[in-house]
Amino acid sequence: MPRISKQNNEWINRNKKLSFEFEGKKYEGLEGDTITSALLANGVKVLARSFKYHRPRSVLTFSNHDANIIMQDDGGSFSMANIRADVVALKAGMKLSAVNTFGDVNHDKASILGNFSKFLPVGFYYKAFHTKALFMQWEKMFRALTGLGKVDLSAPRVRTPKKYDFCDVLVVGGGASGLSAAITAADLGLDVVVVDENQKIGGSINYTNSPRDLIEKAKANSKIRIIENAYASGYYADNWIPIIDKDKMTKMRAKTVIVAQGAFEQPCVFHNNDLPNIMTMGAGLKLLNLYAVQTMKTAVCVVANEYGYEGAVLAMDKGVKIAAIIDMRDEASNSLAAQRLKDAGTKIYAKSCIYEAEINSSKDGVKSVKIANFIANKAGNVKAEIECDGVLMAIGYAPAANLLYQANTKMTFDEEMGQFVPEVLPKAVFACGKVNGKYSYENRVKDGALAALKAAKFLGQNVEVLAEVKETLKPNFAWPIVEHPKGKNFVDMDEDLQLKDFKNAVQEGFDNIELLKRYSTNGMGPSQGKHSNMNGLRVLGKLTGKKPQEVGTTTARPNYHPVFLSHMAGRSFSPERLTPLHSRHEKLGAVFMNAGVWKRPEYYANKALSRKECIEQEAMNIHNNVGIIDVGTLGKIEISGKDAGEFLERIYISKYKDLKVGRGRYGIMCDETGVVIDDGIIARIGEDKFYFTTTTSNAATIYRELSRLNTMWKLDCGIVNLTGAMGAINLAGPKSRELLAQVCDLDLSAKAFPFMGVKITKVCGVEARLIRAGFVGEWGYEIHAPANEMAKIWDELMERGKGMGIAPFGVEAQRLLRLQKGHIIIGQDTDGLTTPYEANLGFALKMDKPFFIGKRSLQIIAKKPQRHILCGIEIIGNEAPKECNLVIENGEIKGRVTSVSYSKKLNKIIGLAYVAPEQNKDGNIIKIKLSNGTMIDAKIVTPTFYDPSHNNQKEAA
Amino acid sequence: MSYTFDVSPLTYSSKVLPEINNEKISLKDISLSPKYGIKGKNSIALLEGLGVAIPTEYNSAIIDNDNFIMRLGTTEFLIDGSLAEKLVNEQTIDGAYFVLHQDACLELSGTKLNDMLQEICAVNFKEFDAQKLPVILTSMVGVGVVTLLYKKDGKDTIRLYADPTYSAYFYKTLSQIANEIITRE
Repeated sequence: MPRISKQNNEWINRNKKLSFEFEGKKYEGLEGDTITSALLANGVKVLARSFKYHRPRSVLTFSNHDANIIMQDDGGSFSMANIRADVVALKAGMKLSAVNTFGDVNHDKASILGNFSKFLPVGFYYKAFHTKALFMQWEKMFRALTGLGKVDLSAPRVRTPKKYDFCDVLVVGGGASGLSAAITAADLGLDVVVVDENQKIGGSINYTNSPRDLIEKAKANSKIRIIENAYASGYYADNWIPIIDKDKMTKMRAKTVIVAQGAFEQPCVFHNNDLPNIMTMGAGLKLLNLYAVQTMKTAVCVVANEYGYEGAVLAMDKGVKIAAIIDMRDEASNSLAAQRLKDAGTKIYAKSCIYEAEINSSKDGVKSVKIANFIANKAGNVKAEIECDGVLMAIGYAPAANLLYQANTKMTFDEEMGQFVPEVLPKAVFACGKVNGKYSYENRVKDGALAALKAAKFLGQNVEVLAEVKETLKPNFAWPIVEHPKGKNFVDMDEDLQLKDFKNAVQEGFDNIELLKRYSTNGMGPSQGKHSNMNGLRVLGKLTGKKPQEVGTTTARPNYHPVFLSHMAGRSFSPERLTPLHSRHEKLGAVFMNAGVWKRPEYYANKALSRKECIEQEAMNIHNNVGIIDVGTLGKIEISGKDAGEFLERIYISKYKDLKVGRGRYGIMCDETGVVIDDGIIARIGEDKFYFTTTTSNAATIYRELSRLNTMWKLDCGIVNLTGAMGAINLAGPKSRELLAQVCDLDLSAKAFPFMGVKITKVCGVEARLIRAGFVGEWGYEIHAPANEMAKIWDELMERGKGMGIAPFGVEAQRLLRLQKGHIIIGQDTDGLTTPYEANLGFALKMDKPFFIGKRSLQIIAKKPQRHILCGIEIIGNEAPKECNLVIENGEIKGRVTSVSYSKKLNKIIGLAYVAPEQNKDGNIIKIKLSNGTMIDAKIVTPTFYDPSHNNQKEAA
Repeated sequence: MSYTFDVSPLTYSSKVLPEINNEKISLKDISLSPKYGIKGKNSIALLEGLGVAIPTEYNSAIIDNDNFIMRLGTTEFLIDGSLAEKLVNEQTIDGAYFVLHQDACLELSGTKLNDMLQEICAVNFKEFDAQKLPVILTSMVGVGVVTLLYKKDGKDTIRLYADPTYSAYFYKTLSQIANEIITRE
């Protein structure tokens, strides 16, 4: 079996076995195994199938971007899709299967697609969908063939905590440079957090011969907080970094960020470079050292740097026979490692390449590799065939610079290094280690310390910053790509993109990095280009005759690595507001609805009646008796000071300086463009004091805006938001006065307390503000009082009103009643473009005021032809349109219905609608298109359907 | 006008929600004490005229017997305690505007206080010294709050003042998170 003897730094617990299934077969792994390591340890060769051609695949990088090795787990309480097997820890009871297969992973029927690769050229999707007639057929086929994993729709909604955290220095990456940076910063007294995506910090220290002291030092330092198994998924403004672990997202706000994420080892491109057991050197070393898994007995190493030799020696020391080193460079290494390999009988070929890998007879791995000379970036004739069962690749890296790009780092291509490195870093962001072009262990350690000193200096510490570190290693080979007439030399394994696909794309004109990416889908698979972008860039550069710097790179947007949607959603806080009378409504059987963030009674349920009947009954009771509604959700604002009137005149389109104390007036608020944004009643309760209401949903916004304007205008007045501190009810109906008279000492005659009169008095013993308003079209009073005393008023009115037929009414009855009066609801009968002219609110406009918000726009609008106007409609027939159904004339849209309802009182279906100005004539018949396409007729009428003379607000003679 | 509360705004009824009394997290509803608010350019003059000691630093507080005198900004104050009941009956002056406060007030403490705060608020409370009685206006679980960090029986404790209409949601959400933290690990 591939599991070898105990390794010094292995991450597995040999004492704890875990049973699991893969593709229906039972296996045993060890605690600490990833799914991949456990399967490999059991001798499983083919872990997955590729996306397009369904080729057998196994480990490539073993670094969180083995994008083909994605699995489904049916072993939990619900089926979990798209698990990254290379990094996800094995759990007992897992029932795993490879995604994207037809049949089992060893006998994938779709592998036949590989034979038709000629007919699946680059840009195939675009080309297929180009013919409109075949669109649906292609769509059906693609949907059947593509897509990774199956979403279990019965999966529960998982709520995850979100955490805010803070630090002086966030070090992203816990390798040699990152740990060096962390220790240096911590030793300077800074609060340091190290985040590392691996099970344990240390990076390549864990699987190479590098000293381990940094790991121990970092762990022992109390100023360093280490977060393992987590990754920084993006960079946002002001050093805001989401850190994703298995349970949650932590929103880290760092004063400085040190990016020490290292570099992604890159694959070499040659024919059949995707066969199982062809992997990066790092993947092989991690499997051997951390998981004690040896997947190959005899390996060939294709290298282009010293790390390749050192890695080969490390693998050899673990028992892997290194049959040959294929060095793509002009000169082979003469290092000690090279000598050790030679001594062990390893053949070293310089200026050579792997021309192709041969698949074994069981089609699950490598049989041999064919070697050719490699001169001037071209392969010559095959000069040898070497038997092996695995290939280790060490031809170079791509910097893990995603965060740096997102932070707006200016990167430059260092020709000597063969890598993009930071040229200009943004404020408070620093880079070190491989991502900064430093590769030797010593240089990485120095570079980490340097980054920490820079961060400390940025934070105001008086430290001496060391000299920049100069790297002499050249780890990146400029052209690790070998052409082959049969293709299957994969540049992007996620998407099965071959070298020829790039050539064809460029030939078709997609010769810009951004266009090429989208057309070819290079880098658009689950690994997001981590193993393919660099080679893709090289290919494009060669094909267009440009240098890498000129080709440029694409920027991976946050989150550059996949994040569970549950982590993003977190707990999904949905704040809601309840009025002080909520418990009363519950007792009365209210059916609640959402009104913005508020919970309001829609109606009060009666088991014997339908919803519609309940609402009708509530409305009729207001016409006949007395109804009570909780309007505590209205915005309630107080403004005091000698400039209070002036302030209101600037805010609202009407005048208020002339409003008498004890009187109220309707108010319309517009924005700067003259669009109606809010309405309410403005009550003058003192010489320098007004109390006014806003609509329910706008209260917070309006208060914020008024506060801003008050600060800006510097008027002598102060604004107080009483929305939450005050409650309010509306008592309405012909018997409302009689009822109110029982609980207050006020003279309630129309003369003493006229329509739109305002009084402050005691109601039910509670000091309250009364407004004689008529929103619902019957005699009525708004009663505003401190929230903690509202229940007292409600309870007493309900008790005393029993004999008068008092009943509560909800939002729906209120909507109907106000519609009968033609009173508009802002946001329902208006939209984001409605002016007072269009909403029939011209009566409130006082253009002779020197200024009010929106005046200038309204002056301009007034000179232009009106687009439409709000009018009343009566539906002819029994079929009611829906709100938003369109008004149509000669096939053209002329307007829309904004409110509509059946009025039992009027025995009609009535509504409000926008129509063209020329349609707005009493008695005119308009056409409304129902949702089902049927056209119905409606008659234009004056929008005050009920009590048009407002007699209900007058005292009977 | 009455400024004392018979019932908590958490329910506005006789129903009392269960408190959380745990070493890790303690969450208590202490909404019933009277509150008084004043704002405006002459609010300082008014309070000083009435002999009320006021915090000299913005966004800080003074604790005077049972009274918590919080300075919310340059010229806005919230007073929680018996003093509030006296002040509401005082006449205001020009440029000083009475603010009716009916806020819910929750008291949060425990060994896991900071863990809790890290899950409900974007402010780094660790940066503040409870001895200095910092008053921070922020948002927690989507609700605007006035917070006061102080020492109670030698332990860091925080008071959270929230709009009463949000308080049912606020308390329920904090309770859920608190219970989750208590049972975690």
